[in-house]
Amino acid sequence: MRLRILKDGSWELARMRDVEFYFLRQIRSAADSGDCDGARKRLFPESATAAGETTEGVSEDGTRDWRELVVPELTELFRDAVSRVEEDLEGVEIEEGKGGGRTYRLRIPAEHAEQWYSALNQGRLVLAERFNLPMSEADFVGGNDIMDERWLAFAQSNVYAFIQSFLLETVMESPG
Amino acid sequence: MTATTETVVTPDVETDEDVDLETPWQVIVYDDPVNLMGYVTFVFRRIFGYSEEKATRLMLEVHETGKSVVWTGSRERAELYVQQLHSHQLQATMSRCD
Repeated sequence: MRLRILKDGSWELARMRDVEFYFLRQIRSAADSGDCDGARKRLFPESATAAGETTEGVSEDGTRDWRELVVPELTELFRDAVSRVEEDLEGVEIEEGKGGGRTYRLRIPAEHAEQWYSALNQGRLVLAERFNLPMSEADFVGGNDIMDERWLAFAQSNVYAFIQSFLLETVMESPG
Repeated sequence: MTATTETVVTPDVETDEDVDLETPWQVIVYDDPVNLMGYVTFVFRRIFGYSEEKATRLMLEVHETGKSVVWTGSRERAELYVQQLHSHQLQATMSRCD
């Protein structure tokens, strides 16, 4: 996979292999924390104060407001980011290789970068919770073939992190 | 003529130790193994307007010690900052300053 920024400010994912494009198409399921309690709590904290801390100074109304107002806003924000990635993926170009293989190319507007970053981050957070993923290959214990679900999740997370690093260093505008 | 003195009564003012006048709140960010360090710095600059140096210093404190107090001030503003940090998928809470 090759990432680069283009002259008009947009950015490009090129030479994507089948598996890398597959990982991107799986962004919605990767980012879905629905059946993973730890991931859901991680993405959608139900309070501004730490769980287990006394809520001195924070009324029950305040906690309820947080749950009823802030959590739905976060849900919508994160869902919109995933939808943005899915919409952009529809513009993919398929390039047939000489040897019969094929790769994928995608051009994305610069202004979509932060939503891509958010969606990929959601995916990594949920995958990490769901599969108890380590942060480095050296710490990975278990099967390392394509038939191993946990290994696939680890590879998927690494692809997402690779794109995120590019976006952060090259595309996303530095504040201030 | 008889001189008169005016007596001034000073009320005995007791201070109420339970009165809490604007105890500041602090915003705490916690380390997590997923968020990229550069992103944490980016978010601190974006949300709090910190310089690159200050944002990096706070990020390193989060990374090396597990957490950092990144802002102190009013409760209302602390709630807003925690919400913004959550929207950037950072782990954050608020608590009263001791």
